[in-house]
Amino acid sequence: MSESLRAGYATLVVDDLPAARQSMRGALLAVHPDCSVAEVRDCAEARQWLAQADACQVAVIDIGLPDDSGLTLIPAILGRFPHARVLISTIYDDDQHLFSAIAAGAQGYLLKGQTAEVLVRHLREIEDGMPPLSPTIARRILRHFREQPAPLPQLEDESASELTPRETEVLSFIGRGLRVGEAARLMGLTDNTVAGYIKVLYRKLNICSRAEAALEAARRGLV
Amino acid sequence: MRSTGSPRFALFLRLALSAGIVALAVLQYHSWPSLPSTLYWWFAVLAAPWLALAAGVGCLARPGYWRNRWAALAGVGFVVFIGSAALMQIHPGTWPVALGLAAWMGGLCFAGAALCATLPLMRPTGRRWREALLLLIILAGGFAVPMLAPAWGRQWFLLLLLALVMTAMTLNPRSRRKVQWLALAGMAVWLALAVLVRHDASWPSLVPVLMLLLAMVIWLGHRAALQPVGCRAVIVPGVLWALLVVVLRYGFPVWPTWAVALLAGLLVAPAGWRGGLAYREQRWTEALQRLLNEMTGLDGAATHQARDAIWRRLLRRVYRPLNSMVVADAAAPTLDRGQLVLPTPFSDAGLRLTGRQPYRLSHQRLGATLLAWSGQMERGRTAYDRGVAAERQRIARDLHDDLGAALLSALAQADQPAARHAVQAAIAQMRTVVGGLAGEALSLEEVLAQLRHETAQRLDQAGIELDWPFDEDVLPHRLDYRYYKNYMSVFRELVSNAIRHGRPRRLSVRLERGIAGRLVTVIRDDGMGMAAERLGRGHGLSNLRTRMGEIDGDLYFSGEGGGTTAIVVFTPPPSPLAG
Repeated sequence: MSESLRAGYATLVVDDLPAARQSMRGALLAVHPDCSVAEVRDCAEARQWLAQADACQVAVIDIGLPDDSGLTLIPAILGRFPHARVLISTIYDDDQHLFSAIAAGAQGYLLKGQTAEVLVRHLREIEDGMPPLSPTIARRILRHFREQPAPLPQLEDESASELTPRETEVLSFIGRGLRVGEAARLMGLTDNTVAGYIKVLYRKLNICSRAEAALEAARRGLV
Repeated sequence: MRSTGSPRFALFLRLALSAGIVALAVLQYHSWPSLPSTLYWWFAVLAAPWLALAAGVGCLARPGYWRNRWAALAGVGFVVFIGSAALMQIHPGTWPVALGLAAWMGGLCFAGAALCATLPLMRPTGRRWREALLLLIILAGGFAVPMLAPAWGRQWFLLLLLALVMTAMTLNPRSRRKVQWLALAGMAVWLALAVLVRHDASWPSLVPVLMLLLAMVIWLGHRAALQPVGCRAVIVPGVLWALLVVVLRYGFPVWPTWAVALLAGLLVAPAGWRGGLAYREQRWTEALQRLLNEMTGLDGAATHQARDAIWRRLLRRVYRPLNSMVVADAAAPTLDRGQLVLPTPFSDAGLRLTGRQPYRLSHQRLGATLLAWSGQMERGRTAYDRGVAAERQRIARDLHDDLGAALLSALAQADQPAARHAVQAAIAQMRTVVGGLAGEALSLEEVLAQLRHETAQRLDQAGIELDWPFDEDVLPHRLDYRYYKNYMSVFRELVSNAIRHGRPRRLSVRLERGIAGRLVTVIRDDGMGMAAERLGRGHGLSNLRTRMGEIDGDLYFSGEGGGTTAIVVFTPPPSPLAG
């Protein structure tokens, strides 16, 4: 990775289990051999690190941290480093754990308990613009957009509040348990195109949830 | 047919009240003989209501604000009217013009203002032409009847209007009560003047009674401000009766006092009856509210002691006993010489209550109902506790059977990759248990999607190809936790076996509809064809069969043509989605 060869390619791993941090460090180093890996145990330490960090390209966060939910770190990291890639590490790839993470701006997730090779492969896939999507999350996203009452006002991107027919199709295939490759074959597209749709879905969900939060805040008179 | 309680009918009657007041003002005709009678009639009957109507329309804009003012003006008008009329009656010939004018103006003022105060209330009911028509009929009657029958027509028309007004008084808008109380003030002034000025009263026995009554009413009125229902029950009928007696006495001076009082009593009776009913209802509602509050506390209390204490408090609230005594044996509520013995649902002891008055059969029945009620609550609580305990046991059993077994087998593995597989299986089991705890039945589609996704990942890691064709049809079933868990586990276990023992290049999964709505899952690997034999000997197969047995399913193996085919059959429960 030419990018990682640049000086100052910094990554952050937030996890309270030393073994999990260890394996994540290994995976990150395998993908970005020259990167620096900062390991912290909880949200407080992560915030401290963020306050003094100069750069952060990738952050891998565990959701269940001792002092707070790892989800609270996502906006903090993205606020400080807008181009950082925030990933969630989790045991389950179900919607309860991951939907709000994606909505908060996470760009992917890694399942714990995988072998080192699988972990590295998944990390690479995310880096290459192929974020993972489990059936439960796909269904949840589909439901989310279907139940959304009306296009949200104050949306940066008007089209973000609804799904295109292609995106809906991708979500329903993945929601039925198909892999990206299978969905691509059924739709007559390349794997990369379908992966691109998934990336767009991640982004749309994030944009919508931010717009919703802004709307909610305005409704409550916070802004 | 509308009930008399409907708002529109109330408005009709309120209009009648106003018209009646106009008619009263017309009665002042006698007080001002110098005016030509025809002109007087035209002015009183026609001009006043129309003036009032105009003012009423004007105040539609801000009803809340103006209504109060009109009501106040009506009160002042009534005081002036009735006061000057009284003075004229007592001292005929003293300032006839000034007093007559005052009475006349006061009456008009009261009538107009009362009309204005009530008119805005008409607005929401719509169909205003009906009210206008009624008003016209009343006015025409007020004009025509006395003309046609000068001897008695006016009095009887007045009586009719009063009857209408009395009925109106039994209805309950707030602004009307204001007018009532202002009318009472007018009455008081009139009577005070009568007592002060006139000593040789023609109704000597009446005035002290009325004064006493009014004093009582005013004293009660202070309390009534806090108790509207008490006001309706006691004070309003009292005031109405006094008012009626005075008005009838004034309108029919030749009638004997007893007849006047009786007639007034008869006219007021419905108001008293309705007020009494309302009062009773209010008391009953309050008692019920207290009772329900206490019962709710009974449900919320955690311990038997706390519930027992609440139960005792509940009985004290309901029965208000002078004395309550704990007794040893009380099986059912019983009456014992006016004392009530009630068992306690939460302890063995009962309570013997001594009341201010002997308790009756109805008290005993109420006690039985309360007992049944609390017994029901207690049973519900026990059932809930049992349910919670059963659920806990289920979780514990699942953790022990599924997760524990998987972890134990991981512990027993000699080599690391095998241990890793076992731990991953344990994690998958945990996920199933946790997923099932959410309590929602998953659709079969979701379960299959989850299985497909998971199987693809596992086979991918093991370098095995998955052949699971995509089926367009959506199966309309929902699996509750039991089905979900067992089917998932069996499926997973079969895939694990294929990966570990069969070492196939390819694993295919087919879902088919069997007979009688059975779901047939065929899992086939092209491996070494030994999974079945292995399974058959060990604990694994019996475990799988047990799991399928839990959902009335079956498991078959066939090893023809190399590889292993496992067939899982079960009937998914019927689903609301199917309809």
